[in-house]
Amino acid sequence: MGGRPLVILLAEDNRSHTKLVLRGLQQHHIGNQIFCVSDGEQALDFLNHRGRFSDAAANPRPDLMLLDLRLPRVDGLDVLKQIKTCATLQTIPVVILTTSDAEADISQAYEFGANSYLVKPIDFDRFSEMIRELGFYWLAWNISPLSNES
Amino acid sequence: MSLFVLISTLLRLVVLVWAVVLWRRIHDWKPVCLFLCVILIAARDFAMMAGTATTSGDWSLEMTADLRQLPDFGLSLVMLVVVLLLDRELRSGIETGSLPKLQAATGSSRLMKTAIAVAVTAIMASAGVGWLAWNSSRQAVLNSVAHESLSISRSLANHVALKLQNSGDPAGMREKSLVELRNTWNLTEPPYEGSYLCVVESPGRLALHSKNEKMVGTDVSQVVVDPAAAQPRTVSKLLASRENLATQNTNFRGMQQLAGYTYMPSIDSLVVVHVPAKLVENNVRNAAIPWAIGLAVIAGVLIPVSVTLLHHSYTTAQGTAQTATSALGESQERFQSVCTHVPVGIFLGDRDGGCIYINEYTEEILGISPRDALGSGWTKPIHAADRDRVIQAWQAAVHDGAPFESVFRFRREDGHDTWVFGSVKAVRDDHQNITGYVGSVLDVTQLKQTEDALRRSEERYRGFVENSSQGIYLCEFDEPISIDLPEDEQARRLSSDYHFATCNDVFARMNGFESSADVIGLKACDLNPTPKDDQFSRSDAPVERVLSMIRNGYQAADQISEEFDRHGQRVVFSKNCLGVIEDGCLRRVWGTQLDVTDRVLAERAMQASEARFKSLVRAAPVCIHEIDLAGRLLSMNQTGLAMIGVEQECDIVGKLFLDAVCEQDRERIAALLDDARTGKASYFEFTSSAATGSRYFSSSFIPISSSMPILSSGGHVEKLMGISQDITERKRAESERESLIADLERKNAELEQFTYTVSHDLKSPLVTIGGFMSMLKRDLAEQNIEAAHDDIAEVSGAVVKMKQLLDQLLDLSRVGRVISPPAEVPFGELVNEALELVSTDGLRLNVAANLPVIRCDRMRMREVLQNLLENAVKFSRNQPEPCIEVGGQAVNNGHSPVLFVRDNGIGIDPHYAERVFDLFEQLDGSMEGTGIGLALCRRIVNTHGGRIWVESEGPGTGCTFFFTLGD
Repeated sequence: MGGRPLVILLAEDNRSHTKLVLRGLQQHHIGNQIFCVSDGEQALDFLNHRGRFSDAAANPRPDLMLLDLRLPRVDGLDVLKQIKTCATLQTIPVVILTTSDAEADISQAYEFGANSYLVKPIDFDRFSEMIRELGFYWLAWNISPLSNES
Repeated sequence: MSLFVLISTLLRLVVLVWAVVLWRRIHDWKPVCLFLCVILIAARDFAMMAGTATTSGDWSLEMTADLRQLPDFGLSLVMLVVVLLLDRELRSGIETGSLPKLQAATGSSRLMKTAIAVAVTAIMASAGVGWLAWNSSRQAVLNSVAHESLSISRSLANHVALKLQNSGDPAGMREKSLVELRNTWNLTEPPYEGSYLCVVESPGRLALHSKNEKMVGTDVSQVVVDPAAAQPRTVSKLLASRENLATQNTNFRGMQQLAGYTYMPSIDSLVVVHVPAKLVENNVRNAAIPWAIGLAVIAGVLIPVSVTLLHHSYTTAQGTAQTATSALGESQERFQSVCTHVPVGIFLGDRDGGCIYINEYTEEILGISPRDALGSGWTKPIHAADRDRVIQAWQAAVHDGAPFESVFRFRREDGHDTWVFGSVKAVRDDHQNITGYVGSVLDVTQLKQTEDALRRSEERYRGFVENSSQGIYLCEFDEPISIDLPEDEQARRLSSDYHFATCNDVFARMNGFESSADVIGLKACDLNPTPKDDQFSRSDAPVERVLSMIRNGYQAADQISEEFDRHGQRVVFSKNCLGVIEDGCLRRVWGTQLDVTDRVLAERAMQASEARFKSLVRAAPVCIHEIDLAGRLLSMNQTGLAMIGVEQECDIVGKLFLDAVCEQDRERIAALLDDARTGKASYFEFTSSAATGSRYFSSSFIPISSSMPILSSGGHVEKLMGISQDITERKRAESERESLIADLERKNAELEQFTYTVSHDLKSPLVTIGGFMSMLKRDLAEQNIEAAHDDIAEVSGAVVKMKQLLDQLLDLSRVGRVISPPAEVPFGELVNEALELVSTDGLRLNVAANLPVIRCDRMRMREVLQNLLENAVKFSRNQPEPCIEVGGQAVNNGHSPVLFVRDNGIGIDPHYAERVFDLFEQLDGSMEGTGIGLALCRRIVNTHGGRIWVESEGPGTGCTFFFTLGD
């Protein structure tokens, strides 16, 4: 994993859920740098270094993005679509992390190019376990084109 | 003989002979002239020949030199040409048959006599005229011989003088000259055989005499040398004058001498050549006689032979004409007279078939002159349609020597046609050789016309009967029926006692027979067997029909008669008949009949169909109407009248169909009406005009043509049939059902969205609670009380949120289900009620004064206002000068007013203006609230039939929520 800090972008409107995810990640010491945004618009602004995220150094390109589907302003699926149709962003692994297990959501997410689809378990132990394995898989095992270059 | 002379002579001989023959044929002065010309020239030639023969031994040389021969030759040619012209005239005369000019042919013996007579005449005439000519030219001949003598003497003298010129002995000159002269003299050839040479010395002594030596020394000085001259000279005088002289009258020793005197100076003497005149004359005669005899012999033989040959040539050329004329002989005139007066065309042809004579009657028929008809001229007036046929037949007849008979037309130049019967037979001589043709032409125009008229009439009758589409028949009664009999008796016999005398095939087939031959001869009863089927009801009994015919003067017109044919099949005829009455008795009946079975059947079927159709139209539960091509109503059934509330059909007849159509549909229906006029049926729906109650109709136009009940394609559209049905009720039900379905679909979609959203959003607090409960457990185990408090706060927050969610969801679901009856509510009151439920501390409120009264569910509308106001407060609270405004925009013409709630809060990106009304949609996740409020508002407003929307300039500029209740 080298010395480079691994960057995770978390797009989640529910503050409690954000806390839970952060706890889970911290508990397993995953991710050196975690950025949280609470709606779709902010997520896109972060990725494209717009608005208050215009400082590219302070807001680096994430190695992994955790995306909730129901986001204010810009829906999670729209965010996903924009990332996957943007030439510079489409290589970022996007993991959908949502409470919805509706078939329509799952199929649409994959249609738009989601790399993984996870449903938040109500049981925190399982939630924590999932976050840990998610982190290991995507940040330790998975080789992304970007990390390969570096 | 020179060629010229020979040719000229021969030509003249030819002319002479020809002229004689021509004269025999043509009694005219021209051949005679020619004849005389030739005789004159011949006489002149005789004379000339005699003349030349005297002076020269070879007189032909003289003749050659004679330039007269050239004009002679020319003249001969001219005469030949004249003869040729005459010959041509004669031949054409023979060809064209101008008989009067032609002389009857003479027999060959007679001709020979004539020829010999001509020859003798020619010779005698030639000889006589030749002798006269000789006498007149005798002196000239003698003179010419005298000059010849002079030239001989001169040439002798010159010869001797020249010979002795160089002797140089003048003394002996005389002797030598005399000797030389004597030696040179040798002229003994005829006509000089009797001539002699003398030399007379000066002064008059005879020094030399070639014939008589004894005469030498004789004094001849006193001899007169030319006694015929005006001043007769003697020899001595001539000698003294030293002249030369040619004389023909020297009376020397008692004999007339022709003499030439040449003075010879060298010996001073006269050299004299003497020729006895008698001798010359004798010589000429002797030379001419054999020539004349030869010519006479030639003429005597040649002329008759030539005449005979020429005559034969003319005879051949004259051919049959001559023969026929000759055969007719003395009866020629009688024949001519007959030919002129008989009313039959007569003509004669030569043996080659060429016409040589036509009589006046033929001339009249042909319309051309007899001259034009000659040869093949008679074929020209033949009618163009018949010409080739006739000419071919004629040529064939001539070729075979067979009789020719034909009926054909002549067309005169004035266009008059004459039908003739022409017949021609060959005339043969004793050896059966055809010598010509004699024919007659009979005018058969009248006959032909009558025959044609008869034939046409017959053809017309036959054609009429055979080709008529009607059955035609003739019934003969076995016994004539007296018209004085009682009607019943007449009728009985009329309908039974006859047989068919004639009929056409149509009639036979009408009655089930194959041809007229099967019917002719049949009796009345044979035609009417027992009936087989009885689908018709009889119009009237046969006996009654016959009676009516009798009463109608034995004729009937268009009687409909139902009968049975031979096979027992029922047939219907339309009959016409006419009885023929002779001597008070009905003898026969002519009749025609037309098979109208199909027509009658069709008419009956049509009537039945019409009746069915009418009752159908009357009873049909739909409006059935007819429209003419101009779009005017022609008729309408009772159902239709009831539909549009009209009592009498006459009230709507003539009115435009389109007037009953509402204005929006009129153009469309007019187009369909146009289509229908072109034969296209159409089905459509329309709304009737307000005058007829704005009802919905389903209708159709069906084009009707005259030939077919209902037009399928093409044809001529006569009118339109329309069928209409009132479908107002059905339409209403349909529209209700549609709106119901739309409503249901909308609700379904909403429900689906709702379920989906709820499953997500309700799970969300559960995840929070579950998560933090585990967290709490861990924190408590770690004795981390502070963290435990936080965990508990998170859990209780989630619980509160959950409760809120559930409450509002219930509320929302109730909106769709429960609705209180609407009431008139002043909007201002509602605003005040709502404001009581919302904490508006620190906010400036601006509620408009004259707010309208609205019709709504009061409680629900208050809920809307409450939500909107809470929203306004929530998003403008953090502004420096928060201000909330409530008002209404007046809208005209009965529409419901537009009401609004405005704030100057954070505003909304116009991009999300629609989304804010969606369930659980929150633009700002950090704000409290469930995302149900605006969804609830929209639902209530929609339930009232209105709509709600938000307008904002963008973030930070505040926003205005508008809503209406109804349109």
